[in-house]
Amino acid sequence: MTKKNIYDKINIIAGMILLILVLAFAIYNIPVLYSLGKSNLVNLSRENLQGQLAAIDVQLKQSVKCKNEFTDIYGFAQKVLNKFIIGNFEYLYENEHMHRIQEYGYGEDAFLEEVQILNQQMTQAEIPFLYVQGPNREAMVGGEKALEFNPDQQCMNKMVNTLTNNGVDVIDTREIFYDADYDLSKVFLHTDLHMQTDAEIFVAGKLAEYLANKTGIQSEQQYLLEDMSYYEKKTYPFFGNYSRNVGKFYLKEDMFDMYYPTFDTNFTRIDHVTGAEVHGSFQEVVMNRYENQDVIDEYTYWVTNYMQFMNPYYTIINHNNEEGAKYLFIMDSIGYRTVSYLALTASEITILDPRFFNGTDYLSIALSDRDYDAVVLYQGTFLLGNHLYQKEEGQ
Amino acid sequence: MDLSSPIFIFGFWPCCFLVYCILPKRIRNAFLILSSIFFYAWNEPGFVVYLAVMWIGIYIAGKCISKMQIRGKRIVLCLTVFICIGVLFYYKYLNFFAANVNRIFGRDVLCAVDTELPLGISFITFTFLAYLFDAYYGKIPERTSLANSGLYFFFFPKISMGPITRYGTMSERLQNKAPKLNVEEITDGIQRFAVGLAKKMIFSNTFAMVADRYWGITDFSNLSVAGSWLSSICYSLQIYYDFSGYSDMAIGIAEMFGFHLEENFKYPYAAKSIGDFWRRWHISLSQWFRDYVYIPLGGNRVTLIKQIRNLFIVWLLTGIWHGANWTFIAWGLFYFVLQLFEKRTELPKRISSVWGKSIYRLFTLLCVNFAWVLFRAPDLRHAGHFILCMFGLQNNLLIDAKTAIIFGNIIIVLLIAVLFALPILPWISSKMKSNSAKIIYSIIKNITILILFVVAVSYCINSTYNPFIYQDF
Repeated sequence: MTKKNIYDKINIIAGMILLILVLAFAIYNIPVLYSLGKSNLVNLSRENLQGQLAAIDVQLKQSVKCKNEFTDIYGFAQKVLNKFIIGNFEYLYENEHMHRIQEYGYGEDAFLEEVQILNQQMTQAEIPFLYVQGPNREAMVGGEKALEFNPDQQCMNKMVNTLTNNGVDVIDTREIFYDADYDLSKVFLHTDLHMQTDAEIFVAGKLAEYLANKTGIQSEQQYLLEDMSYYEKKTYPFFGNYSRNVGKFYLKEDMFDMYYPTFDTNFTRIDHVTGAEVHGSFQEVVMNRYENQDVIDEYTYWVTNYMQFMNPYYTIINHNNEEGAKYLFIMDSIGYRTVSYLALTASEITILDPRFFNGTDYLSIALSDRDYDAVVLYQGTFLLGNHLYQKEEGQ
Repeated sequence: MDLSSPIFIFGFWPCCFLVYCILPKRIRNAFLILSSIFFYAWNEPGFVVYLAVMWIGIYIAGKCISKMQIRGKRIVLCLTVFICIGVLFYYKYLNFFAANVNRIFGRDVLCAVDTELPLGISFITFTFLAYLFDAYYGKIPERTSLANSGLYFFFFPKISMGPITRYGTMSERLQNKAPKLNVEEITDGIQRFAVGLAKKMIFSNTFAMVADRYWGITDFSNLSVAGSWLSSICYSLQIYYDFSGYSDMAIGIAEMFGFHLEENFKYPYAAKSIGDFWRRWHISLSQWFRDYVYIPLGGNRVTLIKQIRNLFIVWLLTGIWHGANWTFIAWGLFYFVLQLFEKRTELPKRISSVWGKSIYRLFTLLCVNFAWVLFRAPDLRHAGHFILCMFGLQNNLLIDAKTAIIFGNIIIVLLIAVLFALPILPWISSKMKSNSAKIIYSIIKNITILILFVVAVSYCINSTYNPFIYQDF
């Protein structure tokens, strides 16, 4: 056997290894392919045949075996290639945080106008109205690259300045963190757009103080937002939305903190859309008990373990504080944990999420349904594309 | 389902290959035909019937052409060519033609039709035409069966994006009624596929995102000089790695089944001249036009005026083949001018100094780069503005902050891509004199291919953005 044959044999052996790997992986995915085939191929329609077949490929990407491992490999490759812009200009990595890339503005003028209309409405109704501007990730923990690819800071400045100049009561959470000399590296989750739980509770404490001064209704439970010894803390590894397509080798996962009250709590949640009511403790009513799920891992989205994702209109009642204030919060997920812990100091908080209004004027319904001591609009920039006042077509 | 989709890599292809290996040899070719029809039907279910009808029609026409006298040959050839081109015209060019006629007359003289471009129609049509012309020239063996012709037309690795294969390339394997499995072909093929997938997913898609971002800018004062150059270079690399990657995948898979398709790319960006570039880029297409248009028209064995005419026709048709847009026609005619310049001046041959040759190579690359701007632009106006941006003539900045950031993001990928767009590996391989050096090279090469394949698959699964440029043709 000449050495040249060895050289060729190496190629053959390597090729066979590659072939066996591909075939083995394909066989490993037979249950996935079978399941996709069964659910899709039996329901093929002539009108949308091509689209349905293309959808199988998309579903396979999502359900292929070892997807997480491949994601980790992908993230590792990005790291090796020194790529800090991830996906198709979707995210940018800077200062150990992932940032969202948003190359175009939000067209926030319509939203600004609606906020001012709401303010006028509340002024006439003699109900204090507060606009709370969420913090800006790119300016606070990002850097030049993140700021270059995201207009949120300018947009937030515009919101705050315009509303302030037009007589709206504004709290800028950016200033809250700066004034308190808060460790900015601990404000945001590294892998997700949301804040860390401690930061959200900090905001809740500041909001509670401000609202108490505004409404004149002092809360005896204010200390619950300042002293965490009243809670049992549990921490879970967490991989947020900004990092789910780059995996663990690109950016280390977060540790998501949750604080469970160790004191007695008694709540009711009323879903105004379905009419359903849920009674129980803080964990049972305000939280969603993800910790009781069969599978808990770093992909469990703990952010929505609080409040009611996709529900446009519901009320949380705190039976242990019936003399407390009643608030209406118009918000998206930026306020999930903030408002959850704020509820411990209030009598009642009604939540409206404009992202899920779907044409129904829940704002007007909520304002006419119940009484409030204050109305708060709390958002970062994600509500700017939504209408507070929903109109029927043609109006 | 394309060659880089997970459903193909982990579903269709392994299944197809395993069944092929298990089946008795006599029915393997028949199985490949069915697999190919299934592959095409998955992507284009509504067009399969047309293909089936054309297959039978072209086969019968080919038989008739082979057997007839010269007059009958020409009539049948012209008729079937007319039908093939007519279908291509209907799906690809009718609306463009109608829009331009209406523009000339200033009113709606012709109506647009509501059609979608069937997958690979240009490649399929040229394959049909190649078969007909080869039948006319007596190059199709008499024993060619309907099944063999079907496998030649529809073989799934090459049906949507080529290479545009001649029947002669595949005939020996097609005539083999009991094809055996060949371990070397299988292992070479899968490694070629892996390299192609890596080219497409890791390199082409990276550049695609950058190029598409800049091509989306409509306010040209916002497109800096650096941004426009970065975009054009990224597009040049995108299209190379996209198309050559696909060709590698197609050739690799075909080889696993015993078919040796033509090479389609030979390091085109290492070209010494425009003529040399077109002997390295999309080789199957340029050879198609050479053999079936240029040479039958007389090639360069005619008067100067006719040579120029022949060149003009070839490049006009090359541009038109790529798409129904004035930009493609301009792109083709741009190469006509360059090729005419080279033929008339013989400048590439006359330059003897190393510096001169290097400068001419750079000139070639620049011309190719500008040509890709024409190729990529949505219309001529946009192309014009884009080129003006490249020279800072649109009141645009020299460099903007975002471009600097984007460049920093892709610098490593860019350097690797530029390096391997040149024939570095063949050069290294040629330097391996001793067998131990060859063994080490082989080990490193194979490990690299394995790693690249795994990384490419991770891109497949994770990425939501996976365009195939030539799939639109």
